[in-house]
Amino acid sequence: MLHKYEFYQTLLNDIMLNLTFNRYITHKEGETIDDCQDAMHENVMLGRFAIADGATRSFFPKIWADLLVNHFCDNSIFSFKEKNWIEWLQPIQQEWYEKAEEKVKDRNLFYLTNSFNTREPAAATFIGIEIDIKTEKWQAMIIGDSCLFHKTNSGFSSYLIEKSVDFDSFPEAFASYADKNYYPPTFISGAIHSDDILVLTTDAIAKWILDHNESGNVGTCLDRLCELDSNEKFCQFVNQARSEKVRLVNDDVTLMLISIEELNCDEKNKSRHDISSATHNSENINSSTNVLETIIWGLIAGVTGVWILRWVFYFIQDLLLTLFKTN
Amino acid sequence: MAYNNVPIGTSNPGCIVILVDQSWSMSEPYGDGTKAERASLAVNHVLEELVLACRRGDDIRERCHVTVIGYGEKVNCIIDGIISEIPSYLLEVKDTKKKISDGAGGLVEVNIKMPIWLEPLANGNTPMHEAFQRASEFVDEWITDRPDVFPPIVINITDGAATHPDLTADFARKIMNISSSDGNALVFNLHIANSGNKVILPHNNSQFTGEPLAEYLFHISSPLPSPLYIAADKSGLPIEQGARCFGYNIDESQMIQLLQFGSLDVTQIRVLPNPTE
Repeated sequence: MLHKYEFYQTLLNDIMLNLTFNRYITHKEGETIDDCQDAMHENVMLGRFAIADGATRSFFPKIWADLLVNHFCDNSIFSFKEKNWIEWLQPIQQEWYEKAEEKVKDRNLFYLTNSFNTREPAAATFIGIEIDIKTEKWQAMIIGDSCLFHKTNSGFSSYLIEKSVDFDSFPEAFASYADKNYYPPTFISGAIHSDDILVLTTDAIAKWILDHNESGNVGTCLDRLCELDSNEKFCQFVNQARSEKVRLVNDDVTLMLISIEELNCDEKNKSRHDISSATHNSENINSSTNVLETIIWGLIAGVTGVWILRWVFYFIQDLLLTLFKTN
Repeated sequence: MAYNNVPIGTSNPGCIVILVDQSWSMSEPYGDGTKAERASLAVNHVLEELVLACRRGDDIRERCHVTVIGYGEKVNCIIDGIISEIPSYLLEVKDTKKKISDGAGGLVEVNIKMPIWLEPLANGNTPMHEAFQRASEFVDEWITDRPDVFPPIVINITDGAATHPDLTADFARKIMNISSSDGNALVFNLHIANSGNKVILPHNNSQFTGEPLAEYLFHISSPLPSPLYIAADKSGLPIEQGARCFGYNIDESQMIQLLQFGSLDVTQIRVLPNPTE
């Protein structure tokens, strides 16, 4: 499954940045995509992107992973300013409970009933990032061993795990019961520039990238990921990487690559033309936004114009009445 | 012999063969009950754990095949099927109670269903050799049909007093010599003993010297392969190089822990970390 969008933003200094993202997912070797407990989602209008890795042995982890990424991207309750992650989790913890109850009730199956009655939680690692191109900033909330990488022209940063040896089988995670969230997420932020790449990925590829970073080959390894342009090619890459010398661990794999580039002159002019001529491109999300803005400004201008004309009309009317009365 | 070329999964199911001693000697006291009660409890817990390990949402995924063979008065195949079929072998599901945290600092009693596949049984001699022979035939057939899969795991739960120890050792070694392209079949022995230290995955017999049955079972247990050694080490088990797939008088939680990492790919055995434990 490949999702690719491009969108454009006009900045105050009239520089335009192009933000492109590709996302990929595949399953453990020996399993099927139906067994995959990872989730990912995005909302390009809000600049939000998220991935989650459901813990296989927890209770209904896929439901929980889906709830986490969808809630982060599509619901503005969460605030990086307030860091209100506990309150943010509450509605989806309730939703997860109701979905689990629906699946368990009337089934009388020990492997479901016992887990439900003993309040066994779902657990998932999580990364949610919000990118604001206007302020050239990003903010992220991370828990567990899913990693965020930020490659710039001047370096490579890794959050939260920095060394490949630090991955283990018991990562911190968001839990579907409030009292079982033993660990808070970590909040980080940074700046974006042209040519930056942000990578959101679950633990298997994260470890693989860090292995390459430790051997001085992170550039080559990221180039390899950036060359992918379909989920089919991603699956081929994963299969190959699982048998390479620097071995990709067998696990569900989710990867989201966000590239930031400065538009060249032709593209800027094209974008301006698209906006001024009010053409609509389904993959040009921000063009749609600008068309909407044009319409709104048009309406405001229209209403203001009518109000001014009405005021002029009343002024002339009063003036004429005054003249007639005088005569 | 990597033991990780072909991970266990729905496309390549694993194979678990459990041999359980049901001979007369298992009627000896053990804790508050008998060795037979202890063995049946262990088998029931292990099967429950395997079902949970293969659960995806509300389904049981076909990640392994399970065979349970009892040996005592007769050698009897009690269960034989893919994991999704295992619930159909249930003898009963007992309703019981369990106290758990209520999430607000207190305890609350909840209803629990205890699956019972195996009732305690203690009768006759100990034809362990026949059980191992049946297991070797099964393992051989499994690998013939699937030459590149993760090799089968045979788990023997016993007090160790085999009627024909030499024949038993021969068949155990025969199993250990059957191999897929991914590695040799593994033999785990879990010894239920009344006295002595609790020893898990020992690298020599120094911790149970003077216990001939334990020494015997130690020697017919597979050397722990490297990936399982790493998994055991990561899960906090005390382990040294040269460890064997042997548990001596280990308690319930250790037995489950041992079988958990021994039975399935450790990446599938994930639990939520609890810093309060």
